[in-house]
Amino acid sequence: MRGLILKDLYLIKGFGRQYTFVLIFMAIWAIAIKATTFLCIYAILMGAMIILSVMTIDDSVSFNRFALTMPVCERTLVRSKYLLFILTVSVGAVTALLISGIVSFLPIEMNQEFGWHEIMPSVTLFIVATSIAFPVIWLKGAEKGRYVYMAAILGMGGVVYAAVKLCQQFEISLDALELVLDTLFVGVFAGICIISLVTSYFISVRLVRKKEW
Amino acid sequence: MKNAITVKNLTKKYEGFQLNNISFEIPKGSIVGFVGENGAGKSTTIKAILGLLPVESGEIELLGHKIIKGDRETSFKEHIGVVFDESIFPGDLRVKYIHKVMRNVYVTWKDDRFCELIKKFQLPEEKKIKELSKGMKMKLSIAVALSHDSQLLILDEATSGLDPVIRDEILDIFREFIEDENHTVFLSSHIISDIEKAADYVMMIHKGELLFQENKDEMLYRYGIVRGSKEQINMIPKDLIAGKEEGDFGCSALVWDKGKLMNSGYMEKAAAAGSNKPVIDKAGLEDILLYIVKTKERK
Repeated sequence: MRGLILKDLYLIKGFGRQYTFVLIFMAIWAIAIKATTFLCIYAILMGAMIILSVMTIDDSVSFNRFALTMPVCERTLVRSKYLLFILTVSVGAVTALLISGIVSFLPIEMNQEFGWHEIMPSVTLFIVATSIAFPVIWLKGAEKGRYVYMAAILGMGGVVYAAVKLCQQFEISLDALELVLDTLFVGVFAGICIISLVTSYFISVRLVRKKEW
Repeated sequence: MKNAITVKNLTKKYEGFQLNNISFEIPKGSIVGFVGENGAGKSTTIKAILGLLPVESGEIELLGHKIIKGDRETSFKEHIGVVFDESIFPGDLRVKYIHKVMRNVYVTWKDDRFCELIKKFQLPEEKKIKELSKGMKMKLSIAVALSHDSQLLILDEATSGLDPVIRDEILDIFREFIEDENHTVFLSSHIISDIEKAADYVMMIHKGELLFQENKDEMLYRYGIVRGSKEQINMIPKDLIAGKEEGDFGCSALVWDKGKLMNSGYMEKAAAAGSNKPVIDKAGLEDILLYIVKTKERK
């Protein structure tokens, strides 16, 4: 497993400069519009998207088929990708924290501040979308997985938007949500992330075991 | 354990194609050439052997280990090197990274051996895989396959698309590899000349059916092509004919034992039946395969 993750890290290193450039560009833009939360969410999104790029590259050279001829079983192969995903999302989160820290030293007053309760819903959206896309990537390839990822984000975003609109239409107040403790709020979203990733992992292992390489 | 690979009654079905109850054994210490036209079932057989496909039925053993798809036991793969027909390493990785990655994958990885091979193959460590030529990519795959404790090399069309000089170099490496009698090479290819140069045994597959597995030298010694008139060809005992061709300029037949044919008194009888004596030529591996496949096709 260590070797597989190392291979992916070397790959990420290859396109790391590109990611840094995009992040700097987004940082300048976010500072211009004084939106720290936006930049933090973007950093985590980048972390979450890296896995799709890595799996697309693997797919293009049938690396996974070769990996299974090495002393690697299906479960290890799948686990390595989930661990990489957790790692890159974590790096994205640390980057987000660093950004918010750096921004607080700037002589500009930002209209948003970093807060987990503001970021967690978006992070959950990315993680659940990736959890849905993972089994599709294993079964049908990375390109189809990307479509499913986008569809999942749009679908979940649409559901949230529709729910808010319905609440407004029927004059249901969402103020009560602000009374929920931050820790509980973040905890619920973290729970959703963990459940979706674990479920996705077991589905992926099952599919990969039956897959024809 | 005298066999590196044992396959019994392997069946794999697809729509419009099936590997039909294939059985064979690959003895240790040999190079076995696995031939057949495109789509004959070579890659499917290899994938099944490697446990990359679920199969309908059959038993497969690699180096004495029973292959079961989804098996968590992987230590036996330390002794198997696999090379596919295309580069399997992502293009953005550098050769030196492959070294570091593989060191962390194989417990039996040999740093010195890998360094020696990339030096021998003149593979630049700093270069990205995508900057290497096809031949160099293939050499890199072979270097990886040979740099751990491989006892069995399985190669699926590994020499296709390479120029003759590189192909010859690679075949030399395989011959060197089997000098130790515990080492085995299973080489699938549709480049017959490669098999003719390197293999000890030849195995042929056609439309998912294994046609034969024979010692190459014995085959080349035994098989012959008889050329003559239609009448002369029809006089060959049917049990000796492996394939037949009728053309505008005469007929020919592949016989699986030219010695037996000559001893049967055929030459004298056939000479009396025509204005010219029939001729028996040596059959090359390519002739043998073409005659057999064409005759099968006609049937």
